[in-house]
Amino acid sequence: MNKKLVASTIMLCSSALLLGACGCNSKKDSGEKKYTYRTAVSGNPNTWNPHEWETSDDSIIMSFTTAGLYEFVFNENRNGYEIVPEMAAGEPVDISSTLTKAEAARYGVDKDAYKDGGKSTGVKWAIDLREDACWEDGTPIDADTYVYSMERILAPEMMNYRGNSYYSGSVALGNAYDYYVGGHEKYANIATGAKSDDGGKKYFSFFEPVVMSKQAGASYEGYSLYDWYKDDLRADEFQKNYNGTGEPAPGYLKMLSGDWGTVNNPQFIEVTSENQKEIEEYINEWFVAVLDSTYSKSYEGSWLFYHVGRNEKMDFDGADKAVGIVKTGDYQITIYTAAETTAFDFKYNFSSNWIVKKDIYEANYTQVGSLTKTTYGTAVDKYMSYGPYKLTDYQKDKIIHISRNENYFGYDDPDVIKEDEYQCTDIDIQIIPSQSTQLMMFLKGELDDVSLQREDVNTYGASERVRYSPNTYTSKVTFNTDWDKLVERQSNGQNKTILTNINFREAFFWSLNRKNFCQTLTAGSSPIVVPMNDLYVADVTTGESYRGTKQGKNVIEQLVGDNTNGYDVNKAHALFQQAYDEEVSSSRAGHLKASDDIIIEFKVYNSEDIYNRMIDFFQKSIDAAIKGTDLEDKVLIQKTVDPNYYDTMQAGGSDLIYTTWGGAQLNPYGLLDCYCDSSRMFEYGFKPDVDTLTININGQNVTKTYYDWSVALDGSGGEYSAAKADKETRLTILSAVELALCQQYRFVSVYARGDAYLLSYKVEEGVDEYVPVMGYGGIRYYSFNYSDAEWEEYLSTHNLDYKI
Amino acid sequence: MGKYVIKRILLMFVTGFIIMTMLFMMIRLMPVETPTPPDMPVDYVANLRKAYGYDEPLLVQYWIFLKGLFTEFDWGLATKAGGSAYTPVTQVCLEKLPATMYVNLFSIIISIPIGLGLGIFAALKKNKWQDQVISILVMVAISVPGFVVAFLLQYFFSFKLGWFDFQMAATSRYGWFSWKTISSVILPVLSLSFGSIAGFTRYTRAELTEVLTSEFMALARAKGLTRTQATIHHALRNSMVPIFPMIIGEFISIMSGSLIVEQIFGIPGIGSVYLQSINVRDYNVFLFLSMFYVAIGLVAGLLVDLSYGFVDPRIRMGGGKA
Repeated sequence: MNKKLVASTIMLCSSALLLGACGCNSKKDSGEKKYTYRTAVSGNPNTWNPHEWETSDDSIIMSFTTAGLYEFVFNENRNGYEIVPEMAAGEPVDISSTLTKAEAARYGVDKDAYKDGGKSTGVKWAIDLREDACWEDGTPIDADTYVYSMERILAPEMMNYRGNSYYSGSVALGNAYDYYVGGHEKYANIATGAKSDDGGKKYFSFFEPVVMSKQAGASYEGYSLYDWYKDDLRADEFQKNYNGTGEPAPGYLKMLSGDWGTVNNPQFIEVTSENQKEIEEYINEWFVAVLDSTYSKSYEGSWLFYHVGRNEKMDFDGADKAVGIVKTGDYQITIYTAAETTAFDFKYNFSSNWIVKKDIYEANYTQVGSLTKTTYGTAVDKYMSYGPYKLTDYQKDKIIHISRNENYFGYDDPDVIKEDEYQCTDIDIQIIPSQSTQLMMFLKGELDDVSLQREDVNTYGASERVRYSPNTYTSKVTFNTDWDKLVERQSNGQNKTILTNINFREAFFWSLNRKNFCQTLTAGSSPIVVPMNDLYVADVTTGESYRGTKQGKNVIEQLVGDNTNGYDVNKAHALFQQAYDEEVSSSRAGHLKASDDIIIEFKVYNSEDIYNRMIDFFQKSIDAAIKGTDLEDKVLIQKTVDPNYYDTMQAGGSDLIYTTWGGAQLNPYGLLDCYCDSSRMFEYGFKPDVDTLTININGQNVTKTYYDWSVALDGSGGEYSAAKADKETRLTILSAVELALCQQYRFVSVYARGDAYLLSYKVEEGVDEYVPVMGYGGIRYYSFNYSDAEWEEYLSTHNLDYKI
Repeated sequence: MGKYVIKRILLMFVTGFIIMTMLFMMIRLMPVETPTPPDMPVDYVANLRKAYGYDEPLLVQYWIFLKGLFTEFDWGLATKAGGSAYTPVTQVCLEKLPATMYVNLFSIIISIPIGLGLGIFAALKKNKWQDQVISILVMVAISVPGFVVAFLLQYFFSFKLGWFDFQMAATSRYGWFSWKTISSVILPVLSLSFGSIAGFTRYTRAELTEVLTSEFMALARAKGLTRTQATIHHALRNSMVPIFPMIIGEFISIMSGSLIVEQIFGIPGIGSVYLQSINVRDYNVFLFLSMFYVAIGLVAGLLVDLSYGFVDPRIRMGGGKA
């Protein structure tokens, strides 16, 4: 008995000592219950360095262990959001009225944004930092940390992947881009539609090394065309048998002529409207010969860069030119943005953070070619947390364990963390690639959530624990509508040009029972007839949904009336017949003949069965609508697998493809870029930089190309950007462009993507209804029905049933 | 013999070098997706690839690689595969190897005795019901793919019965030799073992059956040896000549990962890294792992050839003059 008493006393004393050693901010005692949230992801993070992370797998650790200057939280009623200071001590203060001309020049504020007489707004911001913010080891985080980290993320010798967060976009820091590219090679591009960054002039040379690149990644480079013509693997083809013709390549002959310089006397030829097409043909023949001929089709429209010099190097804090971030106090920074920005955009942009711990960052430098990189954020001892949680265990391809960071200031400040927030003490993330294993573990109570696949929804769709999480992506069917390309693609007796007939495409639109599609082929998705769903927010200050505005509603009203499923087989029937009549009576070369079949090639990413089922759905929908028309039994959709189907379609190499676009919920205006920029969109045949649209703005008709409308709405200085135009005007433009795009039926929206998942009985989310931007609230708002020990006990006496 | 070994080793290096050259060229001819952030500056990709050295002609790239390899044993850095950006590929891969070896070692430890035992038993009971049962089980084990076995084991023993963990325990938390870790690899070890056991059983049975019917076995019995003595001292030893190299090969293969089994049971081994290196075009990881497996194959081939001489002294190597 005495021994037990002594032992108990020792244990109590030990506990007290341990608690004392936990740090001054520790609030928790050893007797407190543990609430661990256990989840699984399928992919391993490659790096969680805030300067280099790329994918959502990479970001998972940062989402718990970092904190932004500002943070999105639920409003009081938890039916909307507000953005509040977190690492910042208060709201950002717009001190642009103090901006001098010299300051504007030094810190790269755009000339348009600077106004004499202290009238500038939205370009110079003071941010007070919390003095109690620190790293998990207690080291303070001050203004020096922010300035140092910004210099590193933009450092030209590092070329960090996330540098773009601060050198581009609506809240780009002044001179950040110049600093980032300083000292690097400078290239210009010369493909159609691409804009030269060399004062508008474009040049071409057979003899200078070129860099061929797609927007999404480089493909081939390092040689001049001369190298390929003369010395490399395909020289024979270029010189004797170009593309199987038995003739030399035209570009090779042109080079031999010496008109455009010789190898000993290389010349740059200025690209003009007269010679541009010719040059592009030479570039394309390079693609055809160097790459596989089928593959190369997808490279049409790629960019050809050539070297034009080097960008001038600049100092981060030079006397004449400096990057727009300055330490103005031990706990205050001032930020100069290149263009005028709103307070909301400013806070939104700084809701993520860029700070890194200097000693760890630099201790892990490594040389990659001529770049300096760091392995910061690849192991527990190569990383330092500062958010509500800290990384405590990480084993590659196995587990990530995250625990409460007792040195996070928020736990001691009720203004930051309210009583019922952050109940979760630990987060245990397992890396489990197999969804079926995840599901079994969930059903045994070993995980607290699991995503569901279509087949699982049949079993668990009615469960009280199932949750649906919509996302901003809309999946659509996109048409090739280019007459010439379709003529080229069709063969005798097999017509494709009917795809250019708007009635045919509209008929396809009305033939789809989208509800049925979602129920049978997707898990958690919902039918949609327009490219933007309810999640997009039109007014960031009120959280008003774009689809809820009168302009947003009007688009749907105009398009489908109250038939929001967009399904009307009779209408489709009539339109198919009308399209047939129009095409058969056409006199244009390549038009549909009465004896023709219509063969539509639908290129898909891979051979997964889901694509067969989706295409089968479309085929049956068309068949039902064309029954009794002259098109009956004449329309066939053929599936072809093409991993590069996006690229292929951008070159007109398919008739139909699936396309999916989504964007930032708080910026529906930015999404237009995906439909109006020829380098990004997939609607081959649509010419957004040529086709115009007239919109009535405040009583005046304004005409612009689609591309120019999207640029005008763009946040970084567009004519109708948030900083320059009122909300109603922006909504008018957005809805007009959206409606015009929909009414062309070059794409047909089918479903708004969503996810379905099961949540365990152990935990409850912050809200029952999905709230745009906030979702269900995330870990901050989780409440637990059971502690870890209680849950173990519950499992030992109960069988879990998630079918009810 | 010595000359033969030296010759084989030299040939091994030459073969390895040729394979490495081919692999280097082929993987580098596949275009790599350079990580490209949105709103990239027009020359971002070009500069990044220049910095990585991808803008150099292939032969120059290979020369740079060889220089680093032979002067500093530098295989380059992992860029995207392996969960460690910018970490030396040797480090990335060697970190993953222990988990693969751990599971495979257990698999061999149980496969060899069980496989040999069953094979011997089946041979001794040739054409009796015991032999038939073993033969059927061997056929099933060989026919059913390993991943199916893995799924079935996981479904019944982890999900339905709850006897074992779904996933291998994290060694960063539980260590390598705790009961938690060992018990968590029982199912993957079994999944990996079925095929090996079946292979050993079938091979041993076939060899031993043939030897048991040889004339010298009749002679041994005629000399007065019991059946057990004749089997152990004469039949088994002779039948081991082709089986022993198989065991060596199996031991060496403990370093090769099983992608599917590793994925199903959450074994943080080398299998997934290899696949990932191809998917994301991590040139350096791909080349290192490919050469690692090539080296294993070449060494295994050499050891297997040499082992014949040790197992059966009648076999001589080198093809010297009589």
